[in-house]
Amino acid sequence: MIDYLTTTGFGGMTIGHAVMIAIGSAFIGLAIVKEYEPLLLVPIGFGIIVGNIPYAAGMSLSVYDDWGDGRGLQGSSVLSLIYFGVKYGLFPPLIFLGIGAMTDFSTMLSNPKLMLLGAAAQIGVFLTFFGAMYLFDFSLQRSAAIGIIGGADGPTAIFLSSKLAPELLGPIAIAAYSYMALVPVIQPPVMRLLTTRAERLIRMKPPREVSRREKMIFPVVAFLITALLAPGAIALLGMLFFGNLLKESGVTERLARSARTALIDIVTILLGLAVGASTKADTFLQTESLQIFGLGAASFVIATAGGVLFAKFMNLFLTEKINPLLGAAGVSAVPDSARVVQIMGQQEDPHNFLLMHAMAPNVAGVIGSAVAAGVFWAELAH
Amino acid sequence: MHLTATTLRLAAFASADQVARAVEITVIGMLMVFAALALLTVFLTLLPRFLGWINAVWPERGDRHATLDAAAELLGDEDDVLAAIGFVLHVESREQP
Repeated sequence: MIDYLTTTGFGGMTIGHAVMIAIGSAFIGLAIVKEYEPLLLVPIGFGIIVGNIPYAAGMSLSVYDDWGDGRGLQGSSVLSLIYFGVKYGLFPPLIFLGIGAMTDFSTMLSNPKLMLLGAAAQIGVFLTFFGAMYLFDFSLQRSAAIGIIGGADGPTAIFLSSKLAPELLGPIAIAAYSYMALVPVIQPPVMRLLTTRAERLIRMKPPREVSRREKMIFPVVAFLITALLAPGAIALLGMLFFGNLLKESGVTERLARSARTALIDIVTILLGLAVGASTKADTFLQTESLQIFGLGAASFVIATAGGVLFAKFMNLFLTEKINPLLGAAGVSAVPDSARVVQIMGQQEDPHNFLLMHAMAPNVAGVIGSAVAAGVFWAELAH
Repeated sequence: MHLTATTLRLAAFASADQVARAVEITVIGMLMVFAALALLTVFLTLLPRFLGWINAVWPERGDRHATLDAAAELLGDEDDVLAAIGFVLHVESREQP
């Protein structure tokens, strides 16, 4: 009887396990009570709990008990089979397919200069990459995986981590999704600090109507331009633009519908659960994880500031001024950062509707962060 | 002693190399991101003009697919449509002598 009790979860429980279970529960609580990214935080939170139940040694239950340890497929755990999609970067491109199939690029097509705000916000990614290497002595590969948190794009962060620093995948994914959920908390102070009231009151011209031909040509040409410049981003951007072509072509509506509903939902469930379950107490509760969280927060702040300041810089040359709040939406976090821009704009002027305009830098940020990931991968893979 | 100094010097060089490499990647990365999105901006700015010329030669037809989509939405699920057709055929066949 006593022997059996030692094999139970209660018998093997350590403080580390208890802390991780508390973190998982906090994620679920945040998702349910505060409604912060519930579609991600519920699976991740539950995954953290699943991954931190202690069990007797020799049982194949963890995401890390895979076929690579000599026991073959029979010896691998169910969770490791799900984790396969994370470990080998399968899930992120599938999520991008769904995002492409649900994204309307019309506002970006109608006002293309707003795309540059999505580029400017990537400064957060690259400065954090440099900071992680310079201040905390992370290797270049690990620094790149940490820096991409500033892209505010969970799938991109997971994809790059799986390629360059798989050992940091858990903390990076958790940091990326936590900060994406905390966009409404992190961004407003930075935006307020860097803009004047007069700037926040700037109204944008209504977007022009975009023809069907423009919408159909865009995904093909955009893929060619971005993939030729950063071939490392082919998997992510290929799927993003392929999904968008399915949506806009008008002849593959059934495929587009599957990609933006059932497929993305299934992949999100599996990815969230697997990422959560990969956070083991003994590897997660380390100083390194705290550093990653700190750098991730800094990355978000720099990215937001970069976008806002670049919008102000553009205004020096433009006759038709841009509301600099839009720059904050260059941090991809679709659509949360665009919502933050809308809310901030309406706090100053309830009749100022910025949401549609903010979607342009928002989706440009997705493209920008994928290109950044592609550059990192190309430069640091060997 | 000599070995330690050499090792330290090597470490310093390696570190300087790493910093230089990080700066290089940062600059290249930002340039690539800006280049990609700036090229897209230029392309998207010129696209309506280009499509204007194309439309003069090969006008864009009415939004056939949008119409079809709207019609499909009005009709609802494919199964419902098939059920309706089946019902009509059934009624017709019963009414025939």
